Amino acid sequence: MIKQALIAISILTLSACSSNNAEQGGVGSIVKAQMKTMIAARKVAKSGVKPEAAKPFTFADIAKTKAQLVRIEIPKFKSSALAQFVNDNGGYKTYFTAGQQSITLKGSELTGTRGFRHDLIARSVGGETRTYKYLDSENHLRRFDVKCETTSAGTEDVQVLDKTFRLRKFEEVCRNETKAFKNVKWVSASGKTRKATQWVGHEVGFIIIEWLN
Amino acid sequence: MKTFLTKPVFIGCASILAYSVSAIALQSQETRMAPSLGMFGTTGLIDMPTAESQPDAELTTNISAFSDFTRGTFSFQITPRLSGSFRYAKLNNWAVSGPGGPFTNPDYFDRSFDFQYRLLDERSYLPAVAVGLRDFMGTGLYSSQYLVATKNLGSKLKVTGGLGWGRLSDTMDVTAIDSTLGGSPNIGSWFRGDVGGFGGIEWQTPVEGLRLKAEYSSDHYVLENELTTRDGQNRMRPAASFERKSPINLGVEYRTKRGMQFGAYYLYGSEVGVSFSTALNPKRNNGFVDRAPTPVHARGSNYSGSTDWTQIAGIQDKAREQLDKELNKDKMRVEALHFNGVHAEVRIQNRKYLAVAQAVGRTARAMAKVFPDSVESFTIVPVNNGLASSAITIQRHDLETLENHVNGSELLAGRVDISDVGKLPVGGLRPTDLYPRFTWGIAPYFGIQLFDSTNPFALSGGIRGTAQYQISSGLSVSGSIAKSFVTADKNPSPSASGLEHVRTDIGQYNLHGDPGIEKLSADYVFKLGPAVYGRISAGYLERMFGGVSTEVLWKRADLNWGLGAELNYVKQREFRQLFGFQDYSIATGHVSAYYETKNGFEFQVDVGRYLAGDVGATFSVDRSFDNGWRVGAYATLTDADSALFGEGRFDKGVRLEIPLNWALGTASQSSIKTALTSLVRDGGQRLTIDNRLYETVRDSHARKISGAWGRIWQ
Repeated sequence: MIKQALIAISILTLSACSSNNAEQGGVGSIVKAQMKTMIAARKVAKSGVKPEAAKPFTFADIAKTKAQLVRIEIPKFKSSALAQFVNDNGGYKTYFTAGQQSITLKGSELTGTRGFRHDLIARSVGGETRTYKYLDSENHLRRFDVKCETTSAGTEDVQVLDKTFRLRKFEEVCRNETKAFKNVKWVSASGKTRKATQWVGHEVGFIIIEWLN
Repeated sequence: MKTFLTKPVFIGCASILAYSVSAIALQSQETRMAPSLGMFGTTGLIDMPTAESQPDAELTTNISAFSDFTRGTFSFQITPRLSGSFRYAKLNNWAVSGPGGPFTNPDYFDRSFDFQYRLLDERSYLPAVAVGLRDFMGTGLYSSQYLVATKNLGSKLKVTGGLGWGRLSDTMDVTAIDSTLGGSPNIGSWFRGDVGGFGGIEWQTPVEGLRLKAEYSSDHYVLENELTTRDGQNRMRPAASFERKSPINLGVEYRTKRGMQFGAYYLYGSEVGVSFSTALNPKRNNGFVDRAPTPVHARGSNYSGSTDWTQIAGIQDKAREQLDKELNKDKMRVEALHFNGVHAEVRIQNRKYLAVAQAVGRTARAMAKVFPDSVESFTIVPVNNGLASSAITIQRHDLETLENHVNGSELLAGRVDISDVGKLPVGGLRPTDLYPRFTWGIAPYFGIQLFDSTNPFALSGGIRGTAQYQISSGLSVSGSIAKSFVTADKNPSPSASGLEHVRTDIGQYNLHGDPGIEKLSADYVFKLGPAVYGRISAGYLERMFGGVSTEVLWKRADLNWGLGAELNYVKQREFRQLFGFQDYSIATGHVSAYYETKNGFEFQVDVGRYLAGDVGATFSVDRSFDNGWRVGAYATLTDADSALFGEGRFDKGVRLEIPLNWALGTASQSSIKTALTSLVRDGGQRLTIDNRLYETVRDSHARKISGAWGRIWQ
């Protein structure tokens, strides 16, 4: 309740007129964005017209672009987006979404996220013991260690966009005294990872990554 | 008359349970009941305390009421073992006799402070043990001291037993402390006189969040029941507020998952009471959303070390333009720039990130993107209100190799250099389009005046226009005008203070100065050396005083302490808050010492002459969190005659600062500041200056930067 009151106070205080939008922080823009969204939603509702469903993305679309793309999905937030490769630093590849979120992959392993509110700051790669790093509320780093074991789980038909692939499935069970989770990876015969489900952290849960080209 | 459980039996049960070795206790380690708040707004049963502590840094607010008594309590878990509380109580129909005879039905407002320290942690076979002081200063209406033990028996049951002095002594021989003590600690009465026992149990019901409580109270509510107190204060009760028929209190409480607590109680065999609590904790993870940073553009393994690029015509302007473009994505600007073939220094204005480490990390990434491969090291200088506060130097190789390292933050922290910063090297570029710069704003304001002895809760609000003309880096003219729409006191009575009315005429300023010029001053901040900062301000400095204010601060970026001095000559402004002055003028000033501990406590001592001419010192301590939260307290002791000072005896209060990014979930440097002061008096008052040097530079120094270093890769 106090937090809600603080938000109300903040908006009341900061949604004021100013010559300097930058200094007014994100509050003004948040308010404006929320109002725009609300107004647009009301217009749609009043019109009685259902918004047109987005056209499904296909591999034919992918073929038209030179950009390296992955599709990411966060089931917990019911959100998905395409992310484009933007940088390679020693084999750590970073992909950006249009919404200015990023993921970093080492091979097919997720090693970091940014712009997710609760980010995975860093993650170790390789080895039986794996370390995840997060920021706590005080901006201090917190580590989370698990031991992981990978097993082959046969082959499966996996759909990515409009195609179905016959892929080998690998399951990786990670655990410590308080937590256990399972990462899954689907790999082609040539060794290319086509799809993976990986644990990001306590707040974000899992991320699904599909490699599109 | 004790109704159903006699005192010795109840206390005996509680004590035996609390101290006994129990087989059940062995099972209880991992699933203890969370501590709850009692009717006094502190961790406890109903009226009685327990030995538990709230989670570290927990901030709780509690309101409780029964009979003629309403209490509002703000508590803070200062350290894992030490908690402090500030309470404001209203007692209806509390007659006070004076020279003209007793007033009829006046309400009495009482302020009190508590401390509790947990001496022993709960173990398998031993209870937690705590010692506490309730209402340890001032008139001591609730003055009591206690030693208490609490033990969990399994995950559903908790027992408490304790010994109390003062009000908790389980006797009728209770007196309020001599009121002439005012706001001074009543040390002489602590743990003296009769001692009584108290205790109780808590049971977590099968319904999640619902618990039942029962206690034996050793508080006889003597002061609330007797017609005349025995302390000679001429304070009389015209009628007993309630009849204490029983020492047994019963309660039911419900706690929501979000930390709100609702309680209902049957008290002393005759009354029904209610309470409500809510909690905040800076340590509870909130996070905020921000655009992902630009990844580090790493140089290839065979990068060119050629510095020929430095000879390109207009390279400085081009570099600045590109860097500014990158930084602008995060609401930062290039204030100044200097580079050669192997090193680059950029001075930045950061208007977005509270954590300087995050601004540094983003600037370093921008520099890695913009500067050619030969540049091996980056120096980033945060400039705050025109003051270049520190120089953070990062090796480019470290930036590249540690970006994705699992221990990259820690390793980088060990390799950066944080030092003082001098003048921009010769040949450096200062963009000409940054100044002059005019900014303005119009915003509503509001205020809540709490805990005045005659009007404990009052709202004020209006609209405020602000403007600043930044002539050059460090030199500005700024002002604000306010018009109120809601006034706390429409007919303020003249101040009766025996000291110069430096603050107590606030009502007159509110009445006659609406609309008024709150501030109109010119400020110049500058550096006298790499670690020496200066400020000169002149004009209408604040609502009540105008004149000249000067300040100097010595604070090395790598040290956790500093020294400062301030000298002002000011004259009191007229009530209309235009351009005139009253007759009163004074030279005032302080020398200050600042010290930060590694675990986030900041201490400050200011010694000097205050606005009313009184001489003394202000002692402040703040717990400063690395996410921008601050919770603190201060006390000012001066040579002002305590009789002239008025109620409260000396200036004291608690203050709270909450960063907006915590509340809103988006990056912001703004924060909400509030203070709970006991009473506004004329003694111990300093000039209100909003750009004092220590507050301006401290966040860019090593202690604060390393505290929030985790954000370097954010």
